[in-house]
Amino acid sequence: MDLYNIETYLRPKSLREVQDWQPNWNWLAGGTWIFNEVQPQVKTLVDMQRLNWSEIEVTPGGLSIGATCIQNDLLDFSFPEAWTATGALKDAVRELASFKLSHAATVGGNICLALSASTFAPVMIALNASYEIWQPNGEPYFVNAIDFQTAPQQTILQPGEVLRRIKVPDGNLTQWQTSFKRMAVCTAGYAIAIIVTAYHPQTNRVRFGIGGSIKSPRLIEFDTVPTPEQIVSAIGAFSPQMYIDNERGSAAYRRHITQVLMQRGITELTTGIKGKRRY
Amino acid sequence: MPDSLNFQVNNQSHNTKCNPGTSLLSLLRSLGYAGVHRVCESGDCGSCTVWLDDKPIHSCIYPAMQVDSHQITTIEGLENGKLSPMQQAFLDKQGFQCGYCTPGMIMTASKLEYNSEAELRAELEGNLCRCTGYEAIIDSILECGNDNLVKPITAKEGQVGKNIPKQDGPNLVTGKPVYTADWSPPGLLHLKVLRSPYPHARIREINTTKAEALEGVEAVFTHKDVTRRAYSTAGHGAPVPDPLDHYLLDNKVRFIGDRVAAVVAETEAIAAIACELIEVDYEILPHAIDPVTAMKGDVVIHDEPESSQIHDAAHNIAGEVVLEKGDLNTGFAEADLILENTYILPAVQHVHLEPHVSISWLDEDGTLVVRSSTQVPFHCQRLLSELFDIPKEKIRVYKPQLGGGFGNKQEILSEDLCVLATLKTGKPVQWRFTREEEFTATNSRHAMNIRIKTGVKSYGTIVAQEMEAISNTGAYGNHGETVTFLTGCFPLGLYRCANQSYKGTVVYTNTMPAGAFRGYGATQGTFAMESQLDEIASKLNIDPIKLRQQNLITTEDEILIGREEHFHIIGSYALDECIEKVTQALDYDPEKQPETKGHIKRGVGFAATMQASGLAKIHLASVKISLMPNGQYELRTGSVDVGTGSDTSLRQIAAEVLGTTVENITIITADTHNTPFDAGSYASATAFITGQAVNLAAQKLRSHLLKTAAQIIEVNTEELKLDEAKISGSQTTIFLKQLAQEAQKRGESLSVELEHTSDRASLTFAFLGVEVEVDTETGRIKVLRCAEAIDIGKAINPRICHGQATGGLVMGLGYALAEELRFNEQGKILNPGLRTYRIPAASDVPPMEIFLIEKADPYGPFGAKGIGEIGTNCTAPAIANAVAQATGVRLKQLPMIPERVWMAMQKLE
Ligand SMILES: Cc1cc2nc3c(=O)[nH]c(=O)nc-3n(C[C@H](O)[C@H](O)[C@H](O)COP(=O)(O)OP(=O)(O)OC[C@H]3O[C@@H](n4cnc5c(N)ncnc54)[C@H](O)[C@@H]3O)c2cc1C
Ligand code: FES
Ligand code: FES
Repeated sequence: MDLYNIETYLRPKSLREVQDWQPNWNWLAGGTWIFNEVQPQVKTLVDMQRLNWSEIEVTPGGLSIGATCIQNDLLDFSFPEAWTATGALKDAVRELASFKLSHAATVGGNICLALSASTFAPVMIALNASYEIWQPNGEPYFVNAIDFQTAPQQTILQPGEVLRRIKVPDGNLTQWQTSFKRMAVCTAGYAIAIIVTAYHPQTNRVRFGIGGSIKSPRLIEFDTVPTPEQIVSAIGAFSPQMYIDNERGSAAYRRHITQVLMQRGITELTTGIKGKRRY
Repeated sequence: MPDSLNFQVNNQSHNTKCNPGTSLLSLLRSLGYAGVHRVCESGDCGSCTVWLDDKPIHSCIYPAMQVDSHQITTIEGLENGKLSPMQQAFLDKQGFQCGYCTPGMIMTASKLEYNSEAELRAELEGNLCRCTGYEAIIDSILECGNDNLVKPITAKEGQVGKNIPKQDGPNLVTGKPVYTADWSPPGLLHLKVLRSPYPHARIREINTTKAEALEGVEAVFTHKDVTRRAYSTAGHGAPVPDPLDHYLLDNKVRFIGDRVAAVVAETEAIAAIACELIEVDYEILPHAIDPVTAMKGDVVIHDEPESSQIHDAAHNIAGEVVLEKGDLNTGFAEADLILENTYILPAVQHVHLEPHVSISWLDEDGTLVVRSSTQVPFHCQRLLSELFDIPKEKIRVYKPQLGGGFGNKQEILSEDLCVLATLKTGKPVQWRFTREEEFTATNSRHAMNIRIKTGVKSYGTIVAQEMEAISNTGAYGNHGETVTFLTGCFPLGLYRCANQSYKGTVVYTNTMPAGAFRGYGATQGTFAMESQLDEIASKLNIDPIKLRQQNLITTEDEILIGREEHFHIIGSYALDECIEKVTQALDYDPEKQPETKGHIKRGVGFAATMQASGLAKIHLASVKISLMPNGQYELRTGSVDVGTGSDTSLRQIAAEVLGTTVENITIITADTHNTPFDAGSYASATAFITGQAVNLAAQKLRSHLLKTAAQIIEVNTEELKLDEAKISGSQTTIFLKQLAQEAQKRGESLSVELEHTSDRASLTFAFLGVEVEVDTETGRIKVLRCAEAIDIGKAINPRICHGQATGGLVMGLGYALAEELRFNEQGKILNPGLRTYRIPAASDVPPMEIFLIEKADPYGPFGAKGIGEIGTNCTAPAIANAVAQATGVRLKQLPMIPERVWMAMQKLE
């Protein structure tokens, strides 16, 4: 929609051009979120396109995704065959919304927006990713995916700070099998629970990236394939306040669905019988 | 000023500047690419789809500033001398109704990759259609590239009963600028309103100085600038049955979203910014959002003396309906089983894709012209005339192509302030609602609590029915009583029972008003009644089909509840056949136990309904039909094609009578200056009433033509035959063109104009069955398949009728499983967008089998009855009944979202 309040549109070619960050400035990557809601507090948009941060790189250490990488580019990229876990990245794209949205939306945009329904956040957590953050006047630093989002639509980013790239270690990509499960009130729309399960068949290790149902995405790890009881008790460790409780879904229901999807995710990976992504 | 943008649209270069917050959608529309449609502006519906360097994107959420050096393709760019294969496929398979979603569908579908129909449906997640139920869209896409030579249907073959293509198709698949907002006179101003942030408040003071001072603002209006005159926004014929309780602008606001002030400015952006500059001092009043609380009368929503026709303003009761028959006590005393339940129905929104939009201006001769997206141009004209003291002749209201209405445009919501602004400024003014305004400041379906108490004999005969509805009409009473009347009247009337009573209480609350919505109250009542009967059947251990058959009215029965004489009438009746078709289609076997497989349970369920065709004695349709000097016909009717295809069906009727084809009949519709009066498009009336008017007028014209020809060529009228080109006797022939010219010479008119109301409003019946699957762990209901049979009398155009059926059914699916406006304690709507208020998408729609059962009705044209609304009523109760069969859980509240299903199952355990 048209944003009537925007007065200035900046298109920096490098971060150095972005000095003197103001409270009513906002980064703009694909713009698909910015332009889908009224943004009363924003007066200046800082377009990131000319920064040229859209690379996908395969390095010995793992995968590196530039923040402004268009989401659909992940679908088209040929990853090394051994990196079976990249399937989860593709699922994050497919399960966001229409493929037309993902022609314009960026990976970094979804992560930095940090909706509880983010499809990328639980994937990044399950894959043990870390984020490289750049500051206007300081050294870049890394933060673990798990520590990035603090609440719905809140991250550790300080004004002017920006996500530069996402790194996924080789060790979490190679041989890991993944499954993506989500539940929304309707068949489409914001998820009220998303479970990304990563399973390593050789070691039996299991990592659950949990999003959607809780205020900030979380990780639950097991050294062996968990029993249903173990799943219940692992979830029991979350405090009730961690669950989102709103008009889209009560805390009790979200908790229940979280557990159902964890169970379905791990069953799928251990039995090899592929189920649905959406319930 | 920002840098200029260089880009290409459909291979044409553009160099332009725009404000930095402009969306690509607005940029393209401002450049004249009107086929890019504005619907949600949030990326959810796909109506604005264009290709950016050959990749489809949603232009509403794409920053115009990023378009520099890119290539854009819009629907206007697809044609290359001829239609693109996808456009042709949509035309051949008629993948549209109102056409508002069509350009976006075609732009998306042209770029899709899929391996199966299921995949295709999933890929269409980002394209919403509210009219078709997607079936025709999917058929079009699947057929793309196959040569579907569509043969024209000749006059000899007849026109009624044939799938004549919707005549507006070529415009719709090419994205022609045919809708209201696609054209405006030069010098257009834009209107926006400041809306109330409080559910209930008095305006103590309002200061518009700052807003007026903003550059580009033309005028600001508040309640101080308008004559205080109460009216109803409902589009009804005079005398209107609704409370007169609404004001152009008022000193009081009654819901969050109510109008406070209007700004007219050079651009929408300036108007919107100016609204924020208006300073209002509100005296916040206590509010009530729950009808039961409201009825206590601690808060009085309409305490103003000027309002009238309110049943009991002190208790916030806008209207009351009481219907009685027989004696309840006697009935219940006879009963072996008495079952009492309360059903809870939510407020839901129409989601017609084209928003409310009006443009008004003054003609050279001082006529006030209103171009508007309305279902009721004539009622609108009358109301404007009353509100502004202008004679009706000096007001012209007309509607261009409509992008859907579903009842929400049987309402005068945008024309009034637009006209105020034009009259005050003397300039053309446009007012276009945003999607958020559609969700928060138009109308919803009435939320209701319906209690039913039923007494039955052990063998299944109903002996007493007591029904009570508390109907939430929101802040204004438009349509409240009439809607609530149907809630009781149809569902009770459908089942024979000597002792019945119904009380409907229409209650004001501080929430968005409710209004007319396809089904018009019958939808709510049908859910309650059909769930109730199903539960009774299961309690008595009788097959639910048998129980219904035992109690359903037949042609022998009169529907007399609350009335001295016949009101709705059974003209033709084929409900028994409908039941047979549906049960067969689903291989229904009453003995079969529901299937269970792990956490998945399956079940089947059914529901019946009836709905009248138009309003007897009230709904007036006038038509004029003439033979023109070129030998073709012209049909003028005030009726409104909301997108359904009625402009085509009406021509089919005329063509059939006149022995010609639809192509030979030009139609001019819905224009108060150029067409005769028609009440408008509502109450499933167009085919039945306007259609009959056309039928009668065409017959009269036919005799008149034959008589005139007989005089000219001097033979007996009986000898003559009329065909598409000529009138011929055994020896002589006169071509229609000659006839017309000869008559013109003689000063004779070859025109017939007549008025028609129906003494009857024949009832249409429908029966629907579904098979569902319930995931007992999550509570998700999935509809596996469904079958619906509609007792339609005669399908004038089967494909169009089929589209009404599938579209209605899928709207019912949304009502059943997903749709609900959610309110907070202030009455603020929490989900005012298509992301959070989900309407069914293509992948939600199960395979549908539709049966149009034809048994000619004695009162409709060629035996036709209404079909516009009925399709919506049965889906929700049939699903609820199927879930009950599968799981034993009875859901008495809509929508049946997974959490509710799961919670109900928890209680069962
Ligand atoms: C129809 C539709 C459905 C959607 N459904 C979902 C859903 O189910 N789940 C979900 O999570 N989201 C959903 N979204 C939102 C979606 O995640 C975003 O639109 C998209 O991912 C944002 O990407 P973008 O590149 O367009 O970001 P932008 O719109 O450009 O930016 C999004 C936000 O992130 C900030 N930002 C972007 N990049 C960076 C960066 N590198 N560093 C710092 N800040 C940055 C921006 O300032 C802005 O606040 C939906 C959106 C639409 C339109
Ligand atoms: S208008 Fe752009 S997606 Fe709905
Ligand atoms: S035809 Fe799709 S919205 Fe009307």
